[in-house]
Amino acid sequence: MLKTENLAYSYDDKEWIKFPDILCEADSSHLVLGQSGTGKTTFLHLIGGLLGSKKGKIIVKDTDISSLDGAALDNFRGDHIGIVFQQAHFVNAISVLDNLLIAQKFAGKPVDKSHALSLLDRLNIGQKAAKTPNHLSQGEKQRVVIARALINKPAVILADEPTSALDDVNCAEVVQLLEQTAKEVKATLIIVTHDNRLMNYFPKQFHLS
Amino acid sequence: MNLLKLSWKNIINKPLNLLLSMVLFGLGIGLINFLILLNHQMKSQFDKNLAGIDVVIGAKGSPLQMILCNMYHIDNPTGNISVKEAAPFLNHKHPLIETAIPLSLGDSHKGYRIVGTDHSILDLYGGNIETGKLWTDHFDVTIGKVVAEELGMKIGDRFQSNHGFQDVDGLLHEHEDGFVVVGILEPTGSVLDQLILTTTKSIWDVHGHDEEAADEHEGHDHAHGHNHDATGFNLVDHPDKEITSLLIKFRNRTNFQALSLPRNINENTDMQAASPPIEINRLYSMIGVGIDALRNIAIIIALVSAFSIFISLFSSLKDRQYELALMRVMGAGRNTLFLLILLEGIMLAIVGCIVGFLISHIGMEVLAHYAKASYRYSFTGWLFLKEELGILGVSVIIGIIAAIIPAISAYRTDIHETLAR
Repeated sequence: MLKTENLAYSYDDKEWIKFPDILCEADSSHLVLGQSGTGKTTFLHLIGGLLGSKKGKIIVKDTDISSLDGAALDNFRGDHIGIVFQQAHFVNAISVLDNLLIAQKFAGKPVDKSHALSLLDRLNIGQKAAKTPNHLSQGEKQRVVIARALINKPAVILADEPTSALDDVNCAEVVQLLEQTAKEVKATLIIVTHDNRLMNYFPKQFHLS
Repeated sequence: MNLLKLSWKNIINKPLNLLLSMVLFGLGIGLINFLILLNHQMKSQFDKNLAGIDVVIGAKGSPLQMILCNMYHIDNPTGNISVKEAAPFLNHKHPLIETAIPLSLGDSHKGYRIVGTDHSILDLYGGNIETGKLWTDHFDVTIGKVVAEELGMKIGDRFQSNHGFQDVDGLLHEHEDGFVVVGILEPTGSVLDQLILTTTKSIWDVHGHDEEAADEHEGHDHAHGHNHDATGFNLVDHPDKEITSLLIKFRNRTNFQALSLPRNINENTDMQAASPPIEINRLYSMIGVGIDALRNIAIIIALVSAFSIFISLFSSLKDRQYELALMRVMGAGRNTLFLLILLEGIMLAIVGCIVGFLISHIGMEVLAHYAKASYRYSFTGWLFLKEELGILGVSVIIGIIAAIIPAISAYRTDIHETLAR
């Protein structure tokens, strides 16, 4: 579950970006649309707990994360929020499997190798588990990123332009995967994008302006 | 996958950076540790061979040379002294002197020195016979363990001695059947292991075949308790002969008269007396200048390598900003990133330190072979000292210092700014 109330942010304390109040149930998928410069990334970072909020409330699974800071916010983020970025980034020195395992470790959860392996199998990249990220194709990388966002069974999955680098076939595949897997862990899925191809998949939409 | 493993993976992911740090740090630590090892082993070699000798009396010349020659057997003699002059110190009833051991040097066999002396030299170094017997007859020799092993000599072997200390053809003494090995000593770890021991008279005999008959003092009055061996030979009965030196042990080394004995000898005789500890300390202080210079160079190398660790961590941070931000997204706190980078610095330093230990111990082993060949000194590369743990500790501290600024910079990673770029 994700809810925002009167959320606003300012980089210089003069011009304020106001965001619409949103309410997303667990197990539902939403699209946040907006042109460049409308604060999409800021919004995503606010609800992902990557940027300390200044005004308003952000409730994730009964916790107001705008009141958390420091280590408490780090823990909460690792535990309850999974993020898929536009570009697939990894800890490059270690294997795909280890990238999932440190996500468990950093979130303060017990390291569960079999869970990580079955998740990779679920996303059809089980055979790449021992490879380092540099050896993966673009599509494979995106699947690993999704696996990493799911590994801790988060309450909210945030995706930042997850399809903008992909062709139509891959785009459809990634979107379906995101939606299915988010449902499987009963997470709220929020996709922030300006990719119009996605508008057909997700009827629930918010517009930033 | 814990933080240790992650930081290890991170440093081996940049093999060139790792190599540079390893080589620089390894050289610095290697040189420092090498000097410590060398210093330690040299001192213990010198100390072991001090053997409680209080004074060495020999011909005038460089006192250090005299000590090196007569106690450590690594330099040439300063000359000879006459038995007549040495005789007072050979008196068993001398009030100050407990033991006086005459040495006659000048000959060698395949690089090992032949020493004409009496059995009391064994007491100095704690030498015991292993096989055979001690030298009693002239041209009998009892050899040290190292001599026996290196030259493969056995009891009953005969050899001709070489004039001088080098193994040079054409300087061979031709003397009847030459020397015969009658015994081999147990190893003592001291210079005794490197010596070929025989009677003083044997040394005289190979150097001059004359005088023999004239020197036989049968029926001499031995009432004043002088040394004489089984053949009835007594050194002081040959006042016109020469020996190289006397090794003196005092009855009481804090006795005032004993302390002033060397000065009396130096002022009033044609001989000189020198105290081994004083001369060896002088030697240390002379080579100390060179060692200090080397140590300073090593410290500079270590500092440069600390700087290289700093640069390598800092530049890798620039490449890994996104990665670090990502770890924060996954729930890693600021402290975790700080610790991660600190661990990388510590690991680079430890790896470099291990390389340094390898360099220094291998270097020591190489030196051991060289030293064995030219000075017959037994160093080893496989002696490890407590000080090395200290060096490891200092390395860790250097690693921490080199990593602290990069670690702070990782600590300050701004997730939002990095990811929004």
